[in-house]
Amino acid sequence: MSVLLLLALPLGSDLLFNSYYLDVATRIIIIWIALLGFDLLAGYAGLVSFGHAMFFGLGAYGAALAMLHGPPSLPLFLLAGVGTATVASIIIGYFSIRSRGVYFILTTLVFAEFAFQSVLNGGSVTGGRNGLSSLPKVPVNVAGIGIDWGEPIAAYYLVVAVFCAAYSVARRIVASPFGSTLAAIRTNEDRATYLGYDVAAIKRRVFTISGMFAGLAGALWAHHQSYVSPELLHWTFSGQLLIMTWLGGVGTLIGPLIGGAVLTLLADLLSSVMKNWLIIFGVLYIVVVLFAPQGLWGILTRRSRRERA
Amino acid sequence: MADAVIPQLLNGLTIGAILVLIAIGLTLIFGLMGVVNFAHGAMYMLGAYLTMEAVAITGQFWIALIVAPLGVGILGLLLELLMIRPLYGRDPLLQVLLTFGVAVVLREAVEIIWGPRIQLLLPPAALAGSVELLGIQYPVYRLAVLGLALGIAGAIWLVLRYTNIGLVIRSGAYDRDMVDALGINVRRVFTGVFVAGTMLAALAGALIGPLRSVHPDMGTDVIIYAFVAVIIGGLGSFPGAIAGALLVGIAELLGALVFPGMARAIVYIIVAVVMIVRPAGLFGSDRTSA
Repeated sequence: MSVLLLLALPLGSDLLFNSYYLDVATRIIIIWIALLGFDLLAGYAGLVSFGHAMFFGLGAYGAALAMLHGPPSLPLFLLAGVGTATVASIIIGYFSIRSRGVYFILTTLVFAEFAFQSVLNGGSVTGGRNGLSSLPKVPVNVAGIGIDWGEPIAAYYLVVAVFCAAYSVARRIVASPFGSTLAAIRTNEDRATYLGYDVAAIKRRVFTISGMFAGLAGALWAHHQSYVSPELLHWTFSGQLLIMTWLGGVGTLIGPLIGGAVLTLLADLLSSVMKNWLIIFGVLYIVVVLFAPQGLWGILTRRSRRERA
Repeated sequence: MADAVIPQLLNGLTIGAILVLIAIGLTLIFGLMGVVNFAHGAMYMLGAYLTMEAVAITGQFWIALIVAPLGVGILGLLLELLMIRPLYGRDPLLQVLLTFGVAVVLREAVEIIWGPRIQLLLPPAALAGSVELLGIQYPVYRLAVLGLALGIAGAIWLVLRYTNIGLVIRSGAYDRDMVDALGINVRRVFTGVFVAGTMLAALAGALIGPLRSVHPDMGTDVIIYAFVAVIIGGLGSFPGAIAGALLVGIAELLGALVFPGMARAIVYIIVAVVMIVRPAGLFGSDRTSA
């Protein structure tokens, strides 16, 4: 049902609302893909990573470099973005997973900062502080009709399509035995180990999957914005994803989507009025952490608080 | 070359000394309370801003040095009582998430109140100028900061080592429940340590004003380095905090000499090596791993 809503959204543009909002919606849905990955990691596996933005940014840069230096091709740049993020998440996951609890958080934070600094000082390869701009859009033919990326509708449908695929994958993972194992690890890691599960390997796997989602989102972002910059990798962006996830309702897949939509939309609306809109969300976030860990979605569905053993 | 090395080394020690003040608070708060205080950087930032205001109002740097940490200490007290206390006994993850939220809110609040501009402070007149040292001219203010920070670190070490409260803190960092079981009011100790740590961070912020600029992102900039310092030294370890902080300070500034632009990378490489080779940190023990 909600899929139909998403598909129908652009019909309202120009009639009900300014088509500019189609662009906002596109960005929201791209972030949704990243949030799915983050929720799998933080919500279902209980691993809070400040490195998520790093994989998003790496995906964006990977795609950007493919767009600049490779033949124009949609699958290519998506693959380049996802590939970059995947490789990075395998390597970084290997080192990060060895730490537990708060150490894991700090480890991902340090790695993220390192990645950010590397991109910032990457010289001509990464464009340094200015990033890479004027990324060419890829020509795509659907049933013989070329897509004009000038129309916001085209970008929107592309992103919706990818999101629907990503969402169904995420849902499948959560419902699978693997998903149950994640929940087991989150609830009581030692017990999962005693039951014979290779907890470290499972954690690495979800870390990589999460990174892939982020990289995919990053690649789409690079194409949509035609511009990538180092800020995409900064841990404060990870922090914003964190706030979106927790505000919306961590560990529900839907919750973070709500949080992401609300935050991005209101940020866009408020930023012309109030430069420091983030403070409102910071306060709301604190309220949620203290009093309503089930988040907005939990409140809406009146779900009971998720127990953490 | 020696002409450049000595001042850079002293610069590194000075920055490291300021980092020491921040790291001590961070590591003790974690060791004793298990709280990874993301808001610590914001306290440092507030210390700098309050100093700036105090100097603007009174014209006296010395008053600011006392008022700023006190003011931030009160904020830290409120923070601990209202927000962190309710989370004791619950998932430590929530505490981290909370302090992160507080850091975000404080950063935005500072920008709202004081604006996004980078501000520059001047050292107090009494400490302006430079002095001849080891064949080079070196600013008096930096030496004063170095001396003050190390002096405070030394005083804290004495307190931890030789006083009753120090004993309680050290034992509490080692085994919180046991200290509680012995009838000591652990909660009050927690609050005290949290406030003290906050005040140290604020003092660091007060001192850094004339050395580096004051701006709303200084909290988020420094917290990473503080985390790196305590990771290297070992979370929860007092000597580790000092060693880690000085190491980070020196590594960054000497690194800037050898590899300009890659100086920060050197720091991250060091922490990466430590995390791989000795995850508990140079002075940490395996017990402190989560």
